[in-house]
Amino acid sequence: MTLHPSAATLSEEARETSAWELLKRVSRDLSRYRVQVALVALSIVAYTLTSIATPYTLGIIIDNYILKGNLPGLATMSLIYFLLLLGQWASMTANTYYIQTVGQLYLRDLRNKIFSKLQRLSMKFFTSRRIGDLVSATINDTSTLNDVLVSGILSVLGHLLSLVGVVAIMIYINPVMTAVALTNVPLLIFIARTYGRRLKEAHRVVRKKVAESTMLVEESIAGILTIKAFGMDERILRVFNTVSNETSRAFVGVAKLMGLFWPFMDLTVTLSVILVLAFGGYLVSVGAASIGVVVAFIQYVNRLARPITQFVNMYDSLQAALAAAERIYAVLDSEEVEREVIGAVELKNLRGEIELRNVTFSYVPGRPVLKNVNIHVRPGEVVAVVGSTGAGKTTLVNLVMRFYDSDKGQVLIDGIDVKKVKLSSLRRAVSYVPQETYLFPGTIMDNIKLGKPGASDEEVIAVCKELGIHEFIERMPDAYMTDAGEMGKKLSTGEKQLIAIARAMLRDPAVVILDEALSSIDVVTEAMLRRAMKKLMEGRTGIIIAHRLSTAKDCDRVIVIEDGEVIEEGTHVELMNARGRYHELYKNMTRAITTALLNSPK
Amino acid sequence: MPIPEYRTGGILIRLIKLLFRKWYMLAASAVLVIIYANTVSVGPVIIKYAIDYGITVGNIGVAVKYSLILMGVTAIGAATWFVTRYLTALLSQELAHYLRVKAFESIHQQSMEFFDRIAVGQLISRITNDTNRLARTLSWQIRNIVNLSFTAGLSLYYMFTMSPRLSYIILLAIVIMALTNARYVTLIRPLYDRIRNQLGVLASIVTSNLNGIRTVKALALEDHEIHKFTGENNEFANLNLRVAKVRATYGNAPQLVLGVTLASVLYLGGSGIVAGSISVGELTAFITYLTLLMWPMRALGFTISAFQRSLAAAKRVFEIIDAEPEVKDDLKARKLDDIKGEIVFDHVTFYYTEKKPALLDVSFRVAPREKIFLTGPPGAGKSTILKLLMRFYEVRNGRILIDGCDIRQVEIKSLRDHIALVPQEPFIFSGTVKENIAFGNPDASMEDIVRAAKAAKIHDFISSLPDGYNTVIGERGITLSGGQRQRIAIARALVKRPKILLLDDPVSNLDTETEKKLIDDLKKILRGMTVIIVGQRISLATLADRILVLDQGRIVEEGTHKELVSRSGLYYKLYTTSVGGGS
Repeated sequence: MTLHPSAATLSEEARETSAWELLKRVSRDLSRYRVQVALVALSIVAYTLTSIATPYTLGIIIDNYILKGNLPGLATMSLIYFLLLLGQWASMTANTYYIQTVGQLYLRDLRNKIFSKLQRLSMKFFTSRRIGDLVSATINDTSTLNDVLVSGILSVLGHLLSLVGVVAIMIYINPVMTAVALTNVPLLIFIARTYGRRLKEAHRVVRKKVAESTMLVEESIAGILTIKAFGMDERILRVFNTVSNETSRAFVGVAKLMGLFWPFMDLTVTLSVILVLAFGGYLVSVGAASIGVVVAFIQYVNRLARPITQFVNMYDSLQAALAAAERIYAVLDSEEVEREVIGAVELKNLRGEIELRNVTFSYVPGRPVLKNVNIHVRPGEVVAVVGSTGAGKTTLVNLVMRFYDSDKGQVLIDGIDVKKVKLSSLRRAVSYVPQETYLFPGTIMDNIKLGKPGASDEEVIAVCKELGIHEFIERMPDAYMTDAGEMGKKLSTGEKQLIAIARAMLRDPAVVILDEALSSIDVVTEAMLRRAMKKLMEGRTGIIIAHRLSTAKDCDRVIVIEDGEVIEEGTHVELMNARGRYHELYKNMTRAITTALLNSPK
Repeated sequence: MPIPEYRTGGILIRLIKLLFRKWYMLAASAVLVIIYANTVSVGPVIIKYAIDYGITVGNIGVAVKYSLILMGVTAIGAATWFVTRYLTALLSQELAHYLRVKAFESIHQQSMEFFDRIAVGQLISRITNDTNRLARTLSWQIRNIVNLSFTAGLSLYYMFTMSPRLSYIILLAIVIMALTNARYVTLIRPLYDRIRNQLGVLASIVTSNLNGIRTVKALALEDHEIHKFTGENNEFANLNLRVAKVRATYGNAPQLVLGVTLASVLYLGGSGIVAGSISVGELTAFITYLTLLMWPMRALGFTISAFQRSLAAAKRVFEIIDAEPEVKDDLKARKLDDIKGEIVFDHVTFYYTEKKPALLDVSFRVAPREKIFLTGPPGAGKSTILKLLMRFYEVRNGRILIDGCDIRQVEIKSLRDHIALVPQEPFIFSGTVKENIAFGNPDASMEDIVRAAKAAKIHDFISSLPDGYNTVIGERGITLSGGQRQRIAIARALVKRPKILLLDDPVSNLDTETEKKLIDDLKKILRGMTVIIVGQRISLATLADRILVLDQGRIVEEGTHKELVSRSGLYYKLYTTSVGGGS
């Protein structure tokens, strides 16, 4: 088993966003929290002022009070010094709190916005995207955006302001000594820059390797049955050993860089301290500066390294944020939303008439899946749709449910174009059980109730009894309270289908569409279910897509679709007599079974 | 899986033992950290000399001399720091690698029961996150604890030689800082845990929502889902806001302590200078010490809690490593050599949970090269029979024989070498079509692969793919339909050239025509193998010599198609409903 790079991702399709545009957009979003943002700004200014003032005051205390022996003044000045530090603490506390608050509010609203948007996007959007990417955009990318653009920028702004303040006051105190003290700045920037880049790369490798090993573990557990069945344990272990080793090496790589980075930064700062000490000492000896000034300068110099490092590496995190933002905005700005016309009709007391009028549809332009299809299902009628794989059966449903809109022609429900109907009312009136049943985390009861939020346990049990699946559910470990497991993993496909049917019937729908919904249920259960359905379908319209032609036999009418066209239509008997495609399909099936079995010599 | 009991001490000793396998690296890092602590704590003393004997008295030569000494000492510190960091990273990463591979190996030795019981996410997190966390905190802790004790001890020593009075104040400040920080950590850790959990909740809501988006739309559940997500998301934000509060108050508290201490040191030190009991250089040194010791004290609380956490992480990893596989080779297990392919179930009883038996006293014999169709309603125990035969689980009662050999007395690997299973929901690995088909037989030639694919009726589809047999499929490639997955799995089984073939519902996802073609082809291919076919579709019976009907864990009917049809039991019902009245 080898590892391959992933295919198309969200970011590839996202349009380029410039940093500037992004900043504008984020600041527009932030204007909602202007009170908190204003408090952040205030705390930044207060923090800058106090952190500039403290070393300055210390210098004055040394020069004018300690060295001059002014003891009463020293007490007062120490108190002032303390008050300044108190101010610094208070502004820092406020700063931490409000930056976090703004960030979290922004993050919360952004996530809610994306999730709501995802719910409004059409199936077309989802078929071309990876679910993992969308989950990551909702969960991780939003975090990145907050870390870099909101919390990140706000705190960098604070640091930047204090940096400017510190340099200004240094120049004010002694310009020449400032020049001496700042000689190490180019070196600081250089180290921060080179190591910043290398660290970024090293971290990227670590992330990649961790992801690789996680993926391998995940896959090897998901496929454990196959691995065991084919005795591939040792081979997998060898692959894992390699990946694990590489992961460890990547971590050591980061440690090496980090181990070099901070000592280098420390050395550079020390260099500056030494220069200040030497030059300051000289100035003091010639009487051009005081000892207090030298002490203050040493304190200032120590405060430069951090903001510079942060600021220099801002660029790289900004790149990450841009990428994250692109993925987020690919969702937020997508125009593939499900649209409703203004004044869309709310469906009420549906009779359940469905009509496709000259419908043409293609997923990919130029390759029509349905070609000028005309179908009319009368209220209360149950129609079977049969045909080979890829004939366009499921597409038909997609159009009735309005997962997609037809290119040409109209889909009508009770004579109203589905495009003019409120989506939620359409989907509430039509119960659809798809081929691949999906169960949500939770109990079986929870899952059935999704069909009709607010339904009572009794209602659920009543429907299951009517369907004849009550005993089957009762037989499960915890009956209705059995955990359906993440994505219904713990239930067999057939069991899932039974639950999905109960879910669909619970809503008391006017129209029921079953799309191969019985494919994995055994024939005996299916026959039982079909009898139950027959009763339940009374007065309802049904469209049943089926491979098993025995299902079609029971329906009022059969529609045969091939290559996107309706080629035959009529009752089972009519179509058998017509000796067309349906007859052929039916014969094939029965022959396969009867001839082979009955003529076999055993 | 009997889980041994773990005591904190035991885990610690085990970790230390593992670390001591590279004792020389451990010793070297300890020595280097001590050197580093020395360079750090002596720094302020050097500054003191530079100020008192250089700057204050106007002796530039002395000032420059001490400056250069400081530079040299810092450089030595930097070098030792780098080497220790590298060594501890190496040490802990080797440990992490060792544990990861051990845990992975252990997981792959477990029987299927283990996977039924433990959530997949848990296993993944233990193998990846827990081992990484352990490595990260271990390397950090080794350094931090040694460094902290030596730096603090040495600094206090230097301070006390300069001014005991000021030293007491600083000592007091350090203790207060450590205490507030311990409080901070106990407050914030549980919050961080809840945040991490809550993030997991959010991710799982989004994941299941998007996986089931078609169902969400079909049932018009959008608002319901938005409501659910918004609720949890708001809870997530509230937790974070609480963290912000704790962080702002406690996280910055040391700053406040520092303020009070600095002001008092300044006042007392300043008075001392005026009184001549302390020098300017000494006061500067004290202030430097204060800032120097602040960081490690702040980290102390985190070190302790990180330590507890890595012990918990280590425990989780050890639990996996120590798990006893339920199914494992008997000590006297022998290799299963060439077999003819006879299968016997001898009064076999099995249950997944105590509540309800999955198989109850099942006995049957399959002759070599015989084909059996095993059918019955869902939950009858059909797949369980295949799983027991593969020894994914151990029978609770009775025995299973292959060529007269109890399968518990043969090497698991050799047993599985002879059998190929096509599971109900086949798994496709991220990899090429070729790799996936050759999965069970890495030596298979391209010819073998193509032949198997043709037989499984999937060759035409593969040829239509952009890169043919080299097309990447699975998680990171093209997604296949259920039917395509089934056919790949059949090809995969055929490439293995097994003596016994087990097909678990192999056509459930195929349309009638493909099904018919596949069955026609299988007739030829299955010749020479013992085959058990599990399924619902009656068409599969055409492949079989004999039919077994299972209901609620028991064999209820057995015989040829003709016999069973004439008996008008469960099979007859199955058959007539399938062909629509038997016309």
